[in-house]
Amino acid sequence: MRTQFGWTLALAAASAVVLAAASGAALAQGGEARADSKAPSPDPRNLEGVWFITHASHLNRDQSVGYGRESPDKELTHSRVLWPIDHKSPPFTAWGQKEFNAHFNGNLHNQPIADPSTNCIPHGMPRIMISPYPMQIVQSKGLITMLFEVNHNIRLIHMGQPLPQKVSLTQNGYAVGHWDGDTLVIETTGISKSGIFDEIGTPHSDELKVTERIRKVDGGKTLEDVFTFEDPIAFSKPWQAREILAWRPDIQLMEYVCEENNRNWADASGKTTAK
Amino acid sequence: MMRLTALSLCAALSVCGGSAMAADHPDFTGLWQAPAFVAALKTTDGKAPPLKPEALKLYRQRVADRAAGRKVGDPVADCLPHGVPRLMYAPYPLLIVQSNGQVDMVQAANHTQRLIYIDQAQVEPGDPKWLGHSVAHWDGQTLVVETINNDERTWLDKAGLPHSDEMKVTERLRLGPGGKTLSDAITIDDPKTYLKPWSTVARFNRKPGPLDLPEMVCSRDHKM
Repeated sequence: MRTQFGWTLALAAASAVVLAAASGAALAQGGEARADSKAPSPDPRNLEGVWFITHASHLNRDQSVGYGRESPDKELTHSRVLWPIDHKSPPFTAWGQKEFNAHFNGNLHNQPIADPSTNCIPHGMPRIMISPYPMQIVQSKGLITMLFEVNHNIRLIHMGQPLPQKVSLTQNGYAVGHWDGDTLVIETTGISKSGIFDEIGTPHSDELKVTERIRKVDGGKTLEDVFTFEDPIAFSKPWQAREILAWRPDIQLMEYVCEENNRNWADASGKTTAK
Repeated sequence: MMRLTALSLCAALSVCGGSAMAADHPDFTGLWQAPAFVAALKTTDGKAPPLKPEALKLYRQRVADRAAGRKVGDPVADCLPHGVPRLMYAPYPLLIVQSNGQVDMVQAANHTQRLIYIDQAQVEPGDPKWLGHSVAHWDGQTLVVETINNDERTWLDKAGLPHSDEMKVTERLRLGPGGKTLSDAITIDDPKTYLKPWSTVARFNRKPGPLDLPEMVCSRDHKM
């Protein structure tokens, strides 16, 4: 059944796991919020606090057939796959499809192509936003800081600034933000193509632009992030994904030091040394 | 009255914190950098830290190894965290964002995060972390930070000042005139390594311009 190494198979593989694996990182982090924990801020523009993706699970590449194309939670993305809202494959260009196939086949045949996080390099946008670890938002005048537990990634959102004409390439890109009513709009460019979208290997080029619309819903207990991806090299048209994060006042970010005893190191050719 | 004072300070600096800023406390939010790199820490009065004999032997070995070009085992050279307080005076910009009951720091060197929890109980001793666990309280205009559970593998400076897991670090962070400088008066209390507690001070200048950090990735750039 390995004849079709496309997005359908990938979605199926990922769905299988969400259904099968009840023990996500969210549960390991301490379960539900304490009853005595403080209430979320009533200010819709106050996004501060610790947030955790609601759908965190492991991707099991062996479970590849017999499941539907929909995400188990309809249009929601989860921690291993950025799920297109329309349930269809991202509109890959020929280059995008080729790159995707290379990553996906590599995973399937136990010869994964190393991605930056393997070598303790920041995960990159948009992948960092779906990591199955908590993220904390801190708001200052002119700056929104996102602190990620996984490999101490950071994102700095420069508020009220225009998107620069030219920025040097970095893993997590250069981000500017503004408020559209009570929705935080973040535009990120300058994202190095060395990163991939997610664990199944959706690729992008240096020309990727990610636009996020982030807002609090459910009385502030939930954060919604709707992504729009534009990349003329990898995709024939823009596409969208939607993520939900839960407010988790019961969690403090833990220390995560990828650089200590990394047994996943990959050499320059991308071959991993994992055993 | 206190509120007015803090707000006008805020306006003068154009760097005041977000929605959760407590108006009667100073706000350390900003981009800071030590004006000069100090490779070997001295006490506040310019003396050598009071190492116990065994620790002195280890320290001298590290200094000699570096002078001879031998591998010295500095964790920072292997992209591991600086630890507290060395993270503070690493020779790169330090972003401080203060809000949400916390003072959070990002050291540009390998985008290392240090989170300091204000008015929270200290954790139990005995679970070392590379950056320990930091809690703080206000003493007037000074933020007093106490850090325990400091992993003994970190060094206090590049020269190789050692410490044990039992080290307690107390820092008194305070803004200078006009908020243009920040001082960190550091006291090291580690009876396993030092004959007595000793103090040093790190000073920082506020970097002008937008709050931004270069992307420094040690495992890619091999620089820290």
